[in-house]
Amino acid sequence: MASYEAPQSRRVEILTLAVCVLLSLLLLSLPSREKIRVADALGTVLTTPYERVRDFIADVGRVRARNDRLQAELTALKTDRDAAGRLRRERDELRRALGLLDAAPSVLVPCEVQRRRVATAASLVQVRAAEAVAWERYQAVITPDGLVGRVYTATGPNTAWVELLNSPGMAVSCMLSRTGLPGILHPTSGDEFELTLVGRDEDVRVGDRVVTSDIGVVQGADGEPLAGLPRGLPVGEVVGVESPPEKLFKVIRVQPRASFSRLDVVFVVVGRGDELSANAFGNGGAP
Amino acid sequence: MTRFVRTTLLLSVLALAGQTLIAPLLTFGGVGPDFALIALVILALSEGAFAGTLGGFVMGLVMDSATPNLLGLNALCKSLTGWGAGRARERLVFGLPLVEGSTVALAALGHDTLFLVVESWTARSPFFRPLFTSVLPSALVTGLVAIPLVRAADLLGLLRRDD
Repeated sequence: MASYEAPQSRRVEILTLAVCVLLSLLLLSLPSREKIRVADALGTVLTTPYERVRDFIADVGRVRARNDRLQAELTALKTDRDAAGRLRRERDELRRALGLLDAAPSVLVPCEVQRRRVATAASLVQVRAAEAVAWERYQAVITPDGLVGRVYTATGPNTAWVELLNSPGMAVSCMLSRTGLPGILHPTSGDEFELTLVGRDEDVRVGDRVVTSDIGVVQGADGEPLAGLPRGLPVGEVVGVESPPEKLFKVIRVQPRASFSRLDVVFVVVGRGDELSANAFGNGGAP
Repeated sequence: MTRFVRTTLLLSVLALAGQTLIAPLLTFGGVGPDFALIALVILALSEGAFAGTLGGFVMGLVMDSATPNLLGLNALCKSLTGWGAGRARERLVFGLPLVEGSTVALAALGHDTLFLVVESWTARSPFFRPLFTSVLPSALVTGLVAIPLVRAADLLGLLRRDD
């Protein structure tokens, strides 16, 4: 049998117990609304530090796992980039040998979205660049996810209206990246699109990536080619393919990669080369 | 004072880590060990009824903050349990796993029964069915899980003995 010498007297112990019990009963007798208010305050004081530490530890674990995955992706992308560089050089040499001119690399100019105008005829956003831009009609406007629209009209050296891809009547020359099949992309309902003019016997699968094609260059009134969309900008993914017996062409539904409702910063593609450069104000700025 | 702080920190880690990480793995059909209660009983056995009462009150408040409709109930039950365990330490013989496990199981039974009484009285919820399907089995499981933890606490010198 063990015996202990209590550090506090029995009276203090009983007094402590009585205070704790009284406080507990007081809390129990509070009205529901007051209970919620007190519990919120207690939660903030008592559990928030622990929850922060727990969330931080969980975040560190997640970040490390994501970092490992990104390192692997980075290694794969570097390998792909080197391979793409070799192919590009070979292609350039072949085009030079054939006497075909290469377009200079396109430049991405970051712009902030300032205003939005939604009408039955068109969905437009006004964008503003930090410095003057060599605006041209139909320049592509992209986000990190993919194509979102094209320049409609410049309103100043730094500002322009951009017509969004989901604007009624919009048509963009695209192709399927797996097979190179060309088609014309139209908005249908909501944020969904249809790729038209693809033959009913062609090989199209759900999941095929849709990218821009540089085939349809828009001609100006004087016959000079206007700036079109560079080849290969990501647009969306095929989510449905049908071949109705009464139609010559497939019905291909495309889900865009970019969101048109959450636009904050976009990039205007200045130039027509299919190689993109992030040097924002080197070649992209106005002369 | 240093010893008290060290004991409290160690038992807080046991309560938090056990309750959030280990208890879900050992819980089946709503029956599982109550690591917070085990930590409270060890605190009371180590530091006495004063620390047990205060520790139980604070621990109960932390748990109550997650269930506002029963705010104060955990604090009440744990204060009484901490006080009872602190008072019982003078009569306990340490070193016997059966005694230590039974002490924690009895504390869990008393705590959960009181909780159930008040809960069923205030929320008009059933009493006897959860008493036999949840409270009694949980008290047994808590007592079993507590045996190695109380032994470890004794080996770490948390349970003071003067014999």
